[in-house]
Amino acid sequence: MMKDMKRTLLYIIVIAAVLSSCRPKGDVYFDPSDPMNMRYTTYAGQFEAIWKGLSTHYVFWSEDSTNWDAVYKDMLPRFEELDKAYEANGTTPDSATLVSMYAEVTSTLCDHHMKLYVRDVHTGQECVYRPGYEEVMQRDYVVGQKYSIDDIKSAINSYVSTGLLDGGQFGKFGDDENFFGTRVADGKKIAYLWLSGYHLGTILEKEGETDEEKQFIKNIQDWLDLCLTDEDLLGIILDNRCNKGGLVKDLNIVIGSFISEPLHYADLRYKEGAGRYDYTDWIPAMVDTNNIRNRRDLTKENIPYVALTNAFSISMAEVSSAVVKMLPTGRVVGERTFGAHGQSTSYSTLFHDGEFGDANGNHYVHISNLQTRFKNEGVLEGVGISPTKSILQAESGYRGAMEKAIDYIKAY
Amino acid sequence: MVRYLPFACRRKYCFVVLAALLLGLVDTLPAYSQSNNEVRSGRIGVEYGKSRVGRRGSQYKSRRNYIMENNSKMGFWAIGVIGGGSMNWQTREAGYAYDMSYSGGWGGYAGISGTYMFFDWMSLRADILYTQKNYTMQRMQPELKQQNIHTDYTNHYLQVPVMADWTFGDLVKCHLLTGAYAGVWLGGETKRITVLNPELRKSAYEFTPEDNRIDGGLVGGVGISWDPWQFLRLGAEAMIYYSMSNTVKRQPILYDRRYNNTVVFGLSARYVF
Repeated sequence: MMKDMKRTLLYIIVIAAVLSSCRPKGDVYFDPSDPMNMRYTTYAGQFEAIWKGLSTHYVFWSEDSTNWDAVYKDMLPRFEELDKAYEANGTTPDSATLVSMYAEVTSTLCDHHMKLYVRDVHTGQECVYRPGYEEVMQRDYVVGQKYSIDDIKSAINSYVSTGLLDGGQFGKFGDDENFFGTRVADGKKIAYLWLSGYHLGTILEKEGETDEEKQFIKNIQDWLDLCLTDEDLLGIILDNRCNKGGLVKDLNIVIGSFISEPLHYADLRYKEGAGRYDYTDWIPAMVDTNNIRNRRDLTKENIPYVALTNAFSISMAEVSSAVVKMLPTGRVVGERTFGAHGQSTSYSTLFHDGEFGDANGNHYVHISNLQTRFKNEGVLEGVGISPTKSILQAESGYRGAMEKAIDYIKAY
Repeated sequence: MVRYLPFACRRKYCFVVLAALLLGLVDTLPAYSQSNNEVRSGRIGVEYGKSRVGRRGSQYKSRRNYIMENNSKMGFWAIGVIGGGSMNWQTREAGYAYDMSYSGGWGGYAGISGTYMFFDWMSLRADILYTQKNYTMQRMQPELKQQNIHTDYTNHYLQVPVMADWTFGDLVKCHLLTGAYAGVWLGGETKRITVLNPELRKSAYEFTPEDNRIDGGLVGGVGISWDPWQFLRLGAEAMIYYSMSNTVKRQPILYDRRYNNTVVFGLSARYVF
């Protein structure tokens, strides 16, 4: 019996050993930042590098309904066909063809910060595709409208010339422009500030060299002085229209100056691993009030704060508008915003997310490296911040939202 | 399948090697059991269930008489409770994040266990267990001189192992357990610290569409038991649950394989019917 038992046990051990060895290793992860992964020579290789890079570094898989594996299955043969055509008769696709193929790859991804630079592997011709921009341009309230910096500047000039504003000055610092103006209504002042981008924190630490730069800094300081010290302040208008965004820490200036306690406005999460759903937990994002010397509690004094938005209020311009909306006396007037709330931070090397590739190489993909989940409204990437009061430029131009904001403040 | 055999010598197959060593050790014992010695010496002349002279032969004894006379428990049921500590670690490709490492995490397990003793030397055992399969993931970049991310994962599993229990010895019995298990991933929690958020944050694990909640694999281990009374069996055991199901669903490309390896150390008490 002992002999039979030993034999039986040995069989079991051998079977266990064989079964346990049927646990093969996974695929080696693709490092989108590895220069080796830029050394492809085919269209299919380029597609694979971009597909795999997005697979590991794209941060919105939890929000996105795109079947990314199906994209690979569908599109790879089509890029291989381009390679076959080149091998057979040396033909290369034109730029529009390449852009349209990458549009099919990325058009359903919701990251509105995404910007795809692809260089033809044979001709070196660069193609650029921005799926978020394309989506916004197709919105019904955007079609046919103008959203350039020049358009908003001429609109502001018209506010001054027609009496919506009593006066003001434009300033410029680097790529950023601003305008500070006031409007007196019922003997009280309304403070108006337009910004084309958010780099206030870094700019205020500098001394302006040119008149434009000095005026830019003066505009911010004057706006803050008026908003924080004027006892007869009627309201504040923060114009975020055609604002391309910038540094989120500017929230401490444009919001933190007007609240008494730190404000938990959103939660952020990164990707801690290369898997599509390897997220960190939600990390609270706060508007800090600790480093603001002069503050004024608008809620306590019941002073209205209005943010103006349009479809090209982007990134930080949207975030600041969303936070204004959260304030008890806050209101957002204008259009639904661009929908790019994931930020690009300097922590991209710590996490498995964010931009990858080489801007001077064959491909470079600019994407967000964190998700923003607003406290009241959730993740709105690709959707945008909806205004409290919708005033479309298609119906009333740049003037309608401004008039509505002033009326709201006067009636508050 | 034969070509996989050399891989069985790797460190992670140590439980197989241990089992083989135990088998050799037992073989050196002078006597398997008193009852079997008696069978061998012809004092009984019949081994129940494997008769040498036929059940209807002149030396036939009733099953009950045989069991009572030889302190045997073959053909009996035993049901009891089992529980103890679990140590789990996860096998995963770190990918290009060379600063990312996984380490084991302690947890617990508890459940009920049923055994049917076919022979004195072999039983079939099945358990229903709640088992924690915890582990820690951390990343540390040398230039920062601090941990970027430290995450403790607590995972709750319900699992049903079915094992052959090979039993040796008389007063204190030794057990070698071999079998397979199936289970389901019930849920989990995370405790995290990141460089961006140095405060410890606890949160419930949110299942993703790529999580594979079905678990299964091999189970093996060793144990000892002692019967202070005819109806009670007390035991201690060490087992390893070697998962062969990926915790991530199959993907056509960039297949991410994450396997749990769980060692449990437990105590048991069984009522023998």
